[in-house]
Amino acid sequence: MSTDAHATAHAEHHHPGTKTYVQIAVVLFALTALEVLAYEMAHRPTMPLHELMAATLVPVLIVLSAAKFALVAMFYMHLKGDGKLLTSLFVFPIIIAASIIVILILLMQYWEVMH
Amino acid sequence: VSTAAHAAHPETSTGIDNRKLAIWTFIGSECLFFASLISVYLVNKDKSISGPTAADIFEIPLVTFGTAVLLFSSFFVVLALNGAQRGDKKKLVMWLSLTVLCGLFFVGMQVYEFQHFLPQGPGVQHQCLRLQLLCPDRIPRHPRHPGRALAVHLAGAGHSRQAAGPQGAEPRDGGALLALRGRGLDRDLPRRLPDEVSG
Repeated sequence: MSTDAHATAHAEHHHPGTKTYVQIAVVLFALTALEVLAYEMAHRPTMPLHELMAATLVPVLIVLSAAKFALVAMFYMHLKGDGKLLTSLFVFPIIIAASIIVILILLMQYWEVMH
Repeated sequence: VSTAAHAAHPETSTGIDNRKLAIWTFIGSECLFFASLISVYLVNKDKSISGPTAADIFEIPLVTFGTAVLLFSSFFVVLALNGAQRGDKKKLVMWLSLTVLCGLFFVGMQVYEFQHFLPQGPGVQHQCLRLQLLCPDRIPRHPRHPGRALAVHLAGAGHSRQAAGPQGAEPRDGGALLALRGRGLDRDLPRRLPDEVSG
């Protein structure tokens, strides 16, 4: 086994402990609460920053959900401790998938505007 | 690395367990699969003529609870893994049991949703998605229409110029395959869904 392969194999065993898992769970819960708060602020005129949140709700929710997604992938799916090859195997299709969704939405919008 | 470690992790050219490599490759391909489904949903969202719309059928509290259950199952399974790595059998069994319970609940929720949705009408015969996928009349005829490209993409058939029809005017691509799938189902579509067809 080469030195690099050794390092990769050892990295596979560096999984977080219970304390880290609980901390991540708390952060995920907090992010979810923020998402709910953002939704309520955007939909209730009596809430503070209603207009600002109504205008920026979608980007805010995308950023918060992306953060949750990254935390789950990094810690609960152990990508952080695993080799870069596995991260690449996951991130590359994610980029293609996001591109497919964005391009198709733009294409449909363009078609509807033009016709 | 000891002999035991070698036995647990056979030597590979990447240094990564092939099983782990395989499961991440699978997850990567799933991302592309779901990108297609999400694209179809977003493109067709709120475009149903006769309904029901997403707002009519989706129950946010139930979906929220299901998402929470999924997150908890992720949490429980890593705690079970942690127990296994420490050799703590009691902890492993406890967290794994909770994970299984979460899984069972989620499957039960899926069964409930299908039983709940179908009597309301949003079956395959009424969905905009179904019309796009299975009804050849609803697949955009313009060869450059993005909706047609999407239908072809989902059919997995590609866009084959070599398989053009006798006149070569209408390529027999994924649209033809979809038409074959939908033909038997769509004979009586005008009678059953006059609003959607006329739309």
